[in-house]
Amino acid sequence: MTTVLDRDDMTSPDVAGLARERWRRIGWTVTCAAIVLGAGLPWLISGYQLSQVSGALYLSLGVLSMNLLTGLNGQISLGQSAFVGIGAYAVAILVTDHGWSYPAAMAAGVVLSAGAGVIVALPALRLRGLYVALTTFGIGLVFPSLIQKFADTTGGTAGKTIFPLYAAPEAFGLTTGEWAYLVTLVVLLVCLLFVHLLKASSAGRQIQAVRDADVVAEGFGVPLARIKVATFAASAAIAGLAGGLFAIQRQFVSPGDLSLDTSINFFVGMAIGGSVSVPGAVVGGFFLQYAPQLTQHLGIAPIYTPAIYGGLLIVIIRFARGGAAGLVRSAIEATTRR
Amino acid sequence: MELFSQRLVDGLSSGCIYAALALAIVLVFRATGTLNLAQGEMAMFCCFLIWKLTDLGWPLIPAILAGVVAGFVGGAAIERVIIRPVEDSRDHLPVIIVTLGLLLALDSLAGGLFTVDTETLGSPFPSGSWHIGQVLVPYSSIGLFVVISALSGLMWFTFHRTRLGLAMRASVDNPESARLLGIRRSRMLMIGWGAAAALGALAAALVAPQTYVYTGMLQGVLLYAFTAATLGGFDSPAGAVVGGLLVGVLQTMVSGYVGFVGNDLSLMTALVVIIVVLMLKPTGLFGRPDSRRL
Amino acid sequence: MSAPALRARIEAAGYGRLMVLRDVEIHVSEGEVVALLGANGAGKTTLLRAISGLVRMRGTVDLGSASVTPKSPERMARLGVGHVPQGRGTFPNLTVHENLVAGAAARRGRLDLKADIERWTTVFPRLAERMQQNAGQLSGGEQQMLAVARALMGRPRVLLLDEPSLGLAPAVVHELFDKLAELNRDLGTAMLVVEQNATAALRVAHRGVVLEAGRVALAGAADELRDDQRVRQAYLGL
Repeated sequence: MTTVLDRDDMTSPDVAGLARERWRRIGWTVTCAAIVLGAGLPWLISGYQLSQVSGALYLSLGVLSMNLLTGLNGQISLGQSAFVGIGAYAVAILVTDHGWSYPAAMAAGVVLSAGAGVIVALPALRLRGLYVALTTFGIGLVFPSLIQKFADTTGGTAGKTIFPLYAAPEAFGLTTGEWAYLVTLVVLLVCLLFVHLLKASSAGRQIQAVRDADVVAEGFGVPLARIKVATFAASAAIAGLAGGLFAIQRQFVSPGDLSLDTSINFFVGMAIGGSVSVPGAVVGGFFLQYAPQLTQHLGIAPIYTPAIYGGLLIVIIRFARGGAAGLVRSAIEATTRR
Repeated sequence: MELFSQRLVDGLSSGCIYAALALAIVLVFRATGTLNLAQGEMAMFCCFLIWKLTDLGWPLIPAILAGVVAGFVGGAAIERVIIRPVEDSRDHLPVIIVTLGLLLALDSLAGGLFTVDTETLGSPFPSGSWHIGQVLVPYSSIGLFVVISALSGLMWFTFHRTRLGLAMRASVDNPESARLLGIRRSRMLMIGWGAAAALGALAAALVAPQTYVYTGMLQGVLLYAFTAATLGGFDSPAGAVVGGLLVGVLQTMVSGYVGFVGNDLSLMTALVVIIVVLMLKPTGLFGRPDSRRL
Repeated sequence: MSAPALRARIEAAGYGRLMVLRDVEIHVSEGEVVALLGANGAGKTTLLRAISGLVRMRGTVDLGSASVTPKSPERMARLGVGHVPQGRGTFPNLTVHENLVAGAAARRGRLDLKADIERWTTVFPRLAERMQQNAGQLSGGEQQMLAVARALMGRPRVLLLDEPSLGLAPAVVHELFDKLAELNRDLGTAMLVVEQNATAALRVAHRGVVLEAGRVALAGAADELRDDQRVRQAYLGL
């Protein structure tokens, strides 16, 4: 493991082959079970609990956008909260002030986010990782002040309530909370599938070749610039989509939820789940949703939650770069050895 | 004209603070070849320590000195214990991510261990101003300018006229050769981080009378400092100082004269400067063209 | 023969799991110049790097009375190992003068660096003319001389030179080796010189050691090696 980014390689070929086969089988079983459970969840738990799971799913999507960019492509973004913010505010403004339908507003948010992603990625092409980290750090820091500047449309620091509510089609007989949950679930599943398929595709291999060695990849005819910009845009689009879902769930947006800390949290979620693992994104999302409650249960004051995140980030980089997915993988690999 | 001069004075005054923090960023960059995103949080933490000491009845100046010393020790310890194990000369991402973790942790620890309230810290400089025509030059601005000039001078002297400074520069220029000559690279790294944190602590204490003391007190200042370092060149201490002053003046002028920007978009201006400089002249004004490690 | 300035007994040395050297023993007596010859990949550079602590090794290195297993180059420098690395390893952004001063980093206490600098610039007069220039602006030959002078600033017990002729014009190589011989004659500095250019090295060396695939294949007096058929064929191109 020479980089931050864990790779999907394993020790010896025969063990690796067996382990990968087992990994895949276990993976699909768990996935199918999770989908069935996820679809039935609105009828199993309370509305409040459901809203929390919705939050975890939104966070998973945000983490997934980081997986694509940082885990697979090796680019670092600390401005992901800004892309989420564009998606969220697009829904808030277009629906409330301009009477757009939710799906149309979300689509617009995705397009805007992707566009912003391209704008950010273009200068990044000429710069190495350090500088990209710096500029995106700046973007994450500046975004709330932009919201403040255009307070007339955005509602400023006080936030903006979204109206009308995103109601379910009447035939379904669902509450808005349940409907928001199901929409989130479907969108997340589609995105997970997209990244999963992308990872194995030839485009996906090029994306990962860029991460592993810029120069070498270019020597083999990988169009470095196009891949980097496209990945950045795709990652921003997913983040924008996550923002749209966030808006639907909360029916309210405010810059406080979209600060630099949000970006860093996505980063922590990615590290926890494992930077190259698609299911790891879901692990990361649920971690971000439930960790604060868990620490509170353990009697730790909420103010120390970020300290725990920070500590975990440091420990993961040092000892377990594969995150949860990496740990599960080595466990499976260990039990596969005869 | 008076308004312009007044803004110039104000800009130079905040520029001094940016310069100090930019110097810290440059120190870390020269020692480790990477950016410390937690530089502002480390300084903020020290500032809380200084506030706590004054709260316990210490006079201001000894409290600031104690905070600066604590910064040095803490910075060196962080380098040794947290940064060093993940250092990799070919890949800067691990260190950056670890500094991100530090940022989160220090922010939360400062709130938890000290207070989440906003506190005040006095100025070590006398209050009042010096009048030049209609222009007010606060004594605190003069004090800041003197302190920052002295610091830059001290830093230049250390780098260029002492064996320690020479060893540090050699260690950055060619780490392996430096080690072969007996220069302890690990010690250089610790000193670099320690000195950076000490500088940051001082900058925080000096800016605190205006920003007040709270966990987010340096978030914006850090971005301006990064802008200053980018503008001046990440490996150039002189560039950090000039860059800091330029950014301070630019910020005051743009906020003052461009109505649309005002105060809200002031941070945005900084970001735009960073991006423009990186696009047009990534080495900054004073950076070496061969900064191959960027 | 007097006590060796350097004796290295290397059981194994290499990178990660790859062991480049196995059971190599080499010594350099006080005042002696030893040429270390061998094909590319024979392990010459690894041997030097193991002695100065840059490469992990198992075994011991004796320097005068001290006997250690090299762990860090900083420590070995303090014990008196001067190492001029391959490709010279000067500090390109430091001036020639600063490079020289940095060479004395391992020495303690108050130093009369001026006298030392003067001494080496008399040996290498071309450096004297370029004191305030950055080392990066020097020619290859000048940089090599600077690297040697810088190592001498540390007053090493033994000087390790890794391919000093690399990338230099024949006339410059000749001049450089003349200087090394002169230094050895006047100061008695012990030297271990790794060279591809066996002719140049054997001209100034007292003894030669030939490495092959990580082991000592041949060792002997320099003039014997010069006349040895195998060496002539393999390394002297005759």
